[in-house]
Amino acid sequence: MNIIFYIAAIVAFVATVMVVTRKNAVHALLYLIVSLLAVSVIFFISGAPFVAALEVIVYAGAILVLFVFAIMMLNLGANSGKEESKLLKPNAWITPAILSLILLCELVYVFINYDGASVELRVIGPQEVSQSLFGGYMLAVELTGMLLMAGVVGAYHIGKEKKREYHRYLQTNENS
Amino acid sequence: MISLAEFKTILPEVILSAGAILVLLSIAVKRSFMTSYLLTLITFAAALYFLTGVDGKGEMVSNLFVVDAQGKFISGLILCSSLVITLFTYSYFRNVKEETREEYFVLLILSTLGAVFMTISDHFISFVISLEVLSVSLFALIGYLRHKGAAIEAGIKYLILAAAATSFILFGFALVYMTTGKMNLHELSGFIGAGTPTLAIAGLAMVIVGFGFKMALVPFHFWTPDIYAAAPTPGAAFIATVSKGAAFVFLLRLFYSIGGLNHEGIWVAFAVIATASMFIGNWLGLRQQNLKRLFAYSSISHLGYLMVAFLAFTQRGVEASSFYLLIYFISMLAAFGMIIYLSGKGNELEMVEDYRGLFWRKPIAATVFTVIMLSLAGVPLTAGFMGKFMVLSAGMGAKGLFLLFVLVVSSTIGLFYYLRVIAVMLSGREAAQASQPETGRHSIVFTAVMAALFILLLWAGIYPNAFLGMLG
Repeated sequence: MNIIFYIAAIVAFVATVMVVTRKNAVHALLYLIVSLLAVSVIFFISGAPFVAALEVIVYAGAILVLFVFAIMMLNLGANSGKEESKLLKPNAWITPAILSLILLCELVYVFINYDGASVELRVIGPQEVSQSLFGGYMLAVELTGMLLMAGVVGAYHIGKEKKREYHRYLQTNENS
Repeated sequence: MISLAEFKTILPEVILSAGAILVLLSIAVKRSFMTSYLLTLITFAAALYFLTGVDGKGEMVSNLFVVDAQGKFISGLILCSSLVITLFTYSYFRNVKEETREEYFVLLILSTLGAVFMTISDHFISFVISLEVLSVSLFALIGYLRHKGAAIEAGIKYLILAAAATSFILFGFALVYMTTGKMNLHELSGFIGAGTPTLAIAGLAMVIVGFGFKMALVPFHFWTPDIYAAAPTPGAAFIATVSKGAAFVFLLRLFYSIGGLNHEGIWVAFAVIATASMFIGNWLGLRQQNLKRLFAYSSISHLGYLMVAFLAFTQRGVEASSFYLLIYFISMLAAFGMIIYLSGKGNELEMVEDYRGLFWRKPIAATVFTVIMLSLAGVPLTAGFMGKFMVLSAGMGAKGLFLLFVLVVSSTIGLFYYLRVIAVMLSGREAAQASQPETGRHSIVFTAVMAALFILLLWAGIYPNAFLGMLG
C-alpha cells in the first residue's frame, strides 16, 4: 500500500507544481483536475472511499469542469475558434493524461489485489460520514454555511459591474 | 445533535447568524443604508444582551465549543468593539457615494461571528472554520472600496497571506492529530512532555507560524501597514482589535491547555517572537509619517507586550492578557475613531502632518487625542499604563526577567513617536489660525461614543479595580 501512496503523492505534487507554473489558465486547470484525482486516490487507499468519491464528483467533476467551461466560454472573440483549437494541442494534454493514467493503473491494481484481510485500515463509509456530519459536527456544518455566505457576499460586492446595461426594452420604458 | 441547554449557551452566536441573514434579506427587499445600520446595531446589542445570560463556567457545546469565563469575557469585548465599529462605519460611509454600502454590515456581522466562535472554540475543526469565516469576510472588508486601487491590492494581499497562514495552521494541526489521534483541546491537555514526538512539536511550530501571521507578530508582520493604510478606517480598526484578539485567545487556550510552554524550544520561540515584535514594532514606527501605518506598527509592538503575559504561563498571565486586551481594544478603537472623527468629507486625515496645529483649532478633540496617544504609549494615569503594569507583574518570574527588560526599554523607544504626534498637534499655531481645513461633522451618537471611550481610558487608568472585577 505504501508504494501506491508515494506514487499518488508524487503525481499530486507534480500536478500542483504544474498548476502554479502554467501560464495558460486552461492548461493549469487540467493539471488541477489531475492533482485532485491524485488526492482522491490517496483518500481511497487510506480507507475513505466515500470521501474519495466526493472529491472526484464535487471537485474534479463539478467545480473544475465548470471552471474549464467558463474560461473557454469567456474566450469569445473573432478568432475564438482558432484560439480554442490552439488550447488543446497534444503537448497541452499529454502530460496530464499520462499522470491520470498512472492514477488509473494504481486504482486498477488496488482493485485486483484487494483482499479484505490484509488491509489493516478501517473503511469509513457514507453512513459514518453523514452521522458525524449531522451529529457531533452539525454546528461546524452550519458554520460552514455562514462561511459560504461570507464568500458569496464578498465575491458579489467585489465582482459587481459598476455600469448597468439595461435591456433595450427597459431603456425605452425608462425614457418614456 | 445539540440540546436546548447547549443552544442557550451559544445563543449570542445564533443571533449573530440570524442578524447577518436578516440584513441580507432587508437588502434584497429594499436597499437602505439606515435600515442595514440599525439592524446591525440591534443584532450586536441583542447578542450582547443574551451573552450576559450565559453562565460561562466551561459548558461544552457538542464537543466543539467551550464557554468559560475568559471566552465569555473576550466574546463580550469583541461584541462591544463590533458595536462601536458599526457606529464608526456609519460615520465613515455616510459620505461614500462610489459603492453600495449595505453589504459592509453583512460582512461585519459575519466576521464578528467568526471571531466570537474562535474565542470559544475547543476543537481544531471549529477553530479552522471560524478562522475562515473571519478571514473570508475580512478580505472583502479590506477591499471594499473598489474604486481605490490600493484597497483591491491590499485585499488580494490579505487573501493570499491569510490562505497561506491557514494552510500552515491546518498542516500543523494535521501533524498533531497524526501523532495523538485527538483534535479536542481538553483531550489533548498536557500532552507535551518528555516523550512528545518531534512530529507533534514540528506541527506546533507550523501552528505558531500561522498564528504569528494572524496576530502580525514580527517575522510575519509585513502585511500590516499596507493593509491598515488601504482598508477603510473602520475595517482597519476591526483588524487591529477583533481579528487579532480572537486569534490570541485561541492561541492562549491551545498552548495553555496542551502545556506547550513547558517545552523549552516552544517557549524560546515565543520569547524570540515577542522580543522581536516589541523592538521592531517600535523601531519601525519611529520615522513613520502616515498615522494609520503608525498605528499598524504600534499594534505590532502591543501584541508583543501581550505575548509577555502569554509567556508567564500562569493563571495570572491569563488574567493579565485579558485585561491588556481590554485596554488595547479601547485604545485602538479610540485612536481609529479619532481619525474618522476628524476627517472631513472626502479627505481622510492620514498623515501626521495633517494634524499640525490641531490644539489651536479644536482644543477638546486634540486633548482627547493626546490622552489616547499617551495611553498607547503607556504613560501613568492612563489605561495603557495599568495594562502594562498588569503584564509586568504577571511576567515577573525567573524565566521572564529578560522579557520584562525588553518591554520597558522598547516602550521607552515607542514613547518617542507617540509624543511626536502630540508635538505636531501642539505646533503651528499661526498657520492653524490662518487656515481652517474642513473637518468632519458627526452625529451626537458618534461624539458620545468617543467621549465614552475617552472616559473608559481614564477610568481604567485611575481605578482599574472596576475592570479587574469583570475578569472573574
